[in-house]
Amino acid sequence: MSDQTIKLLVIDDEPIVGKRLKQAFMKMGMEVETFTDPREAMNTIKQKSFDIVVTDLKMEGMDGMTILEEVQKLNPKAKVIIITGYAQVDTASEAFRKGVFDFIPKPFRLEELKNIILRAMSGALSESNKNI
Amino acid sequence: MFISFAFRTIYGKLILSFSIICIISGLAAMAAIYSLYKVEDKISVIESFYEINQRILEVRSSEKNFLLYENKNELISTIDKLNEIKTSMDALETSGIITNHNIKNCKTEFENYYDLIHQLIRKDYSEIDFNNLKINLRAYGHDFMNCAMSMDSSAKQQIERESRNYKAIAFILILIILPICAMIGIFLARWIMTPLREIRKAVAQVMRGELSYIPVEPTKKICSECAELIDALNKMLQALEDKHQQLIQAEKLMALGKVTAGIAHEINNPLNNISLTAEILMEDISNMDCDERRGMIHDIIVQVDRAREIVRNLLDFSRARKPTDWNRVNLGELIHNTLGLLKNQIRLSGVETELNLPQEPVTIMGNSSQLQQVFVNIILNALQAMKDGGKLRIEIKAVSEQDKAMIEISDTGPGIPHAVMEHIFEPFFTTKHDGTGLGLSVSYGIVKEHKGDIQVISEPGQGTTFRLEFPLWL
Repeated sequence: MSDQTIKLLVIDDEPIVGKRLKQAFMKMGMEVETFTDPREAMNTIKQKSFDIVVTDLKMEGMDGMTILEEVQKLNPKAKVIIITGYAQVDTASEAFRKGVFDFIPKPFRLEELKNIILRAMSGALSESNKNI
Repeated sequence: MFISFAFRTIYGKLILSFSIICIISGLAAMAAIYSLYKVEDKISVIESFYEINQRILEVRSSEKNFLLYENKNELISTIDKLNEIKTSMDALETSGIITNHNIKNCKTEFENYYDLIHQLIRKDYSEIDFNNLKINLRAYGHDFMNCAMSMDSSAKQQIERESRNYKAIAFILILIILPICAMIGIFLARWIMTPLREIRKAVAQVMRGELSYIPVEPTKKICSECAELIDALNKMLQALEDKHQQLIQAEKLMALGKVTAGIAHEINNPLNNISLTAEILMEDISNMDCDERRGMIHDIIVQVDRAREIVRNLLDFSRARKPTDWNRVNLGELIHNTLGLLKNQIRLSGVETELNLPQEPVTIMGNSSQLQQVFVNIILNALQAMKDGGKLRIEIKAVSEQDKAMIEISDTGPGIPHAVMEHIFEPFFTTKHDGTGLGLSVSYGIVKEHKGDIQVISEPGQGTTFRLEFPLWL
């Protein structure tokens, strides 16, 4: 059953985002890890696989697009959701081309993110069920 | 009325001068015409003398024939000629050209001669008398001829004298008219040129920034057209100044356009934090203790402050202040606000900042909004030069011995090529695809208006430093 626990990674240089999302999704029974430094997050990704990665786009040190590429290289099954304060059509389409699961502009409603994560989760679960 | 108009306008002065010249030349022309008439009279006198002389010679030759051959017909033929001579002499007498006693003498001589010839024709004389009369005839003829010749020569002398007088009058007229015309010319040039020179001097002062408009007063009294010209020039200066302010404002809005990405990000982030915190608070409020709730409400307040600060900075920057709105400006504070405005732009470019501020605040006099515009322009350029990251260093110091405040803004970008360097402050010169080429030229204008100076130190590959100097306000 512990395999069935969804592992969520949140990367955002705004500490409040990590804090609040951790609160909300732990309540839903997920395993949540948060980082404000994208480079630290990358180190963790290399050691550990996550089912869902929620990342900010524009961050000091490394941007969300690089994280998306890295995650897909290391763990193609993981679903990446990008959140950004400066959403532009061309960055969104670039992200979708690179295989992002969804792209949401800030400020977003918690409900919105929850729905997307539930969608991603059901996909992840069905895939893991198939494997069983 | 006319005099004051004449002395206060170029138009009036020109009319006055030309009137004077016209009157003088009219007088000269009249004098010349009068002299010509006089000369014509003299010529007719000379002609009538010629006639008289001719007739006298003819009469005398008839007289000679009479004396030789005693043919009275010869004498009769002289009567008509003598009558002609008389008419001519009468005409000369009335013309008044020959002095009266001269002509009277000659007339007496003529009468004597004329009477004698009549006597001889009438034949009422004896043989002895006839011989006497013949001797007298010769003597009287000779006397009359001499008299006529002397009258002729004295008339000729008089004519020569008078024509010399006319020549002298003409020379005197020239001597009087030339200096008058020259003086009028000199005064006219001075009247017109002095106010124009004043205007040129004032325009030069305006260009050096010593005057903001051209004063009307000194030229108003002597040249009302110049006052109108100055008025028009001043209106043009005002219009130029307005346009310049519009350009500064337009350029500022363009600079603002470049930072929207950062500002949107910077406002959306606190909004997102507020929204997430509020939602969690609403969902879980019953499961939280007081401290937890208070902590989350505190987060919301802090995030609201953060957003408000950004909006305030943005408004401060974009507000169109009057160019005359000068205040004490604390450079450290202004740089701090500017960095606040550009914080996210800097963070997103992956650029590190190093800020060196002195302990004591450095203050200058100026328009803070326009000065901030200069800093935004230079910092945005530095960020664009450091696309792959780098270090933005800002240093403020007061150079007390020179009474100067100095701000250095340096980047570690690729530097400015030498060919580009000499053009960077020119309007519309740009090396960017989306640039307008106005940022640095407007910044240069602003710095100059603050009596400051802007220097660029750059070597290809060594980064670029913009050094700005302003007079220190103590």
